[in-house]
Order: sequence, then structure tokens, then C-alpha cells
Amino acid sequence: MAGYVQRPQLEEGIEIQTICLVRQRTMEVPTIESGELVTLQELNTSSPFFTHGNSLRVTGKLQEYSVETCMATIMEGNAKLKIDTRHLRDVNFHVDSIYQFIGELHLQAGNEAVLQARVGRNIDGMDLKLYHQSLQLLRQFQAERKGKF
Amino acid sequence: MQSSSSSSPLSKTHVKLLAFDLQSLVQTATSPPMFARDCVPLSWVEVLGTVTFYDNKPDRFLKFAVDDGTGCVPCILWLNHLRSPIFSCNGRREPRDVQLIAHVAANHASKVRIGAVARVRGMITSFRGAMQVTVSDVVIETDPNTEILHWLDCIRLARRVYDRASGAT
Repeated sequence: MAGYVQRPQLEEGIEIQTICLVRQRTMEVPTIESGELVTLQELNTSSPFFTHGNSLRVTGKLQEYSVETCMATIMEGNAKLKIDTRHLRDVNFHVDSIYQFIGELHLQAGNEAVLQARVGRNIDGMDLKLYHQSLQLLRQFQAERKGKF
Repeated sequence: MQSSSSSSPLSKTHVKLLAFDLQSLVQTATSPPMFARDCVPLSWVEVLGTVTFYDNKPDRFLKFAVDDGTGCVPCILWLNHLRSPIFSCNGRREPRDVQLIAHVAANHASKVRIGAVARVRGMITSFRGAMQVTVSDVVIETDPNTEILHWLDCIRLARRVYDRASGAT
């Protein structure tokens, strides 16, 4: 059956322009890409994650936020990433707090990466050391399971 | 076809699964729906992740998706208990019980929002070949470490329980 392409209506009145959905039937949940878990250090120009349009989930400490442009910058160690938060609602930004964003990576002129966030949340209190260790275990488990499929 | 091992304890409990693992299940029966992970029959699942999609049709259903970092799980929460004869078991269930079930479902639906971390329990079903969860419970988690602990639970249970049930090493 021919589907129709629609921009996701995540909340009433909010449209995300960065990803397209294919909805085939009313009962079907549209296909939304999962945000692949990635650390900011892994997000460099030689990384396979560093591709325009990739859906990613990133975590970092808020370094700066502009109310005028809705642009945030998060950092993790020495790595930084710009986040376009214009589509987010109900997220309060506080410098030095930890945030997690899910969205699509946009590569701009000069290979400057900006994550177009569709979901964001404050995760102050997260054990970041445990997060990074668990992420490695999760990847290892996924690789093992996918080897069996 | 009903699997001969459908009486396995794992088919009667909510198994914690990561999205990519859920999506790899094989359907072995349609009525009631039964799925298998490495030949181990499963019917109920618990998933946890960030709500990334939400479509509410009041008094009909709430569709939403949870993203746990390994995939997105489509979820459907029925809200048509007072209109559909299925939920009253064609009159065999007391109207007050149906109203109570409808109230609980509406309460679950009211908690789901984009960006929330939701722990979802329900029956494993499929729609047009895609795995989904027909929701019976939703709990919104506020501890930022919950998702990490869910990953670790899923990995531990898979290796120590689910894989052993299938005879895999």
C-alpha cells in the first residue's frame, strides 16, 4: 500500500522538519529512527556517526544557551556539540546542568555539526561513569546478539 | 500453531527486553499471539525508554513509541473500553469492572508525554509484521539512572536466564 510522507507531529502545534515519517495506516506507529547512543568524543569527522541526517542520542554538560537563537552547546571532556533546541518545549536550560538530547545530526558549512533536537531532558544526577561503562556493555551485548540473528 | 513449550515460565511473565532484541522475536502463533526468542516462547514484555512519538485519539487509543537507544518500540494503549464489546467480554464482564479498566487506561495515557522516560509493560503483538506492545501498564520514571539500570537488567537477564532457557551458552 502506498504510504504518505508526513512530517512528525510530536506534540500539538509542533512540527519537526528534520525527519520524515512514512505512515501507512492510522493504527501504525510511524517509523521514527532510534537515536543511536554516542558520546561526544566519538563524534568526530572520521567517525561513522558523523553523517548528515543520522539520528543520535547525545549527553553532555550545558556550557552555554542562547534564548534568542535557541542554540545550546554541550560538552563532554574536551568535545563540544551545538544543539538546536527550537523544537523543544518544557525544557529549562541551566548552565552546568547535564542534558540528554535525541535528534538528527546536521552538517553545516565547514563540517560544523549541529544536532536538531526533537527530544531533550535534564539528567542531573545521572552517574556518568556508570553510563559510559554501561554503554560499552550494551554495545558488546548488541554485537553478540546480532551475530546470532 | 501453539508451541509445545508455551507453558514455559517465561511465557507467563513480563520479560525485560531491549528494543533490538524485541524486534528480533519470531512469531510462532497468532491467537493468542505468541513469540519466541531463540525458540523460547514469550508473550509479555517490559520495555523502558524515552517517549519520542505520541498520538492520542481520545476514547479510542494512544499510540506512542519508546526509544531505549537500541531501537524504537511502538506501543498501543487502548482507550475504547466503554465502546468496544471486546473489553466487556460480550457482556460477561461487569460494567463497573469495565469502567475501572477504562479509568486505569485513561490514567496511564495521561502520563505519557514526549521526552518522558516510560517503563511500559504489556503483551507482545505485531501489526503488519512490525513488533509492538499492547500496553497494560505505564510508569513514568524520574530517576536519571533508571534507563542505565534497565540496560544492565536486560543484559544480565538475557545472559543468565533467557539464553539458558533456550539452551544457548
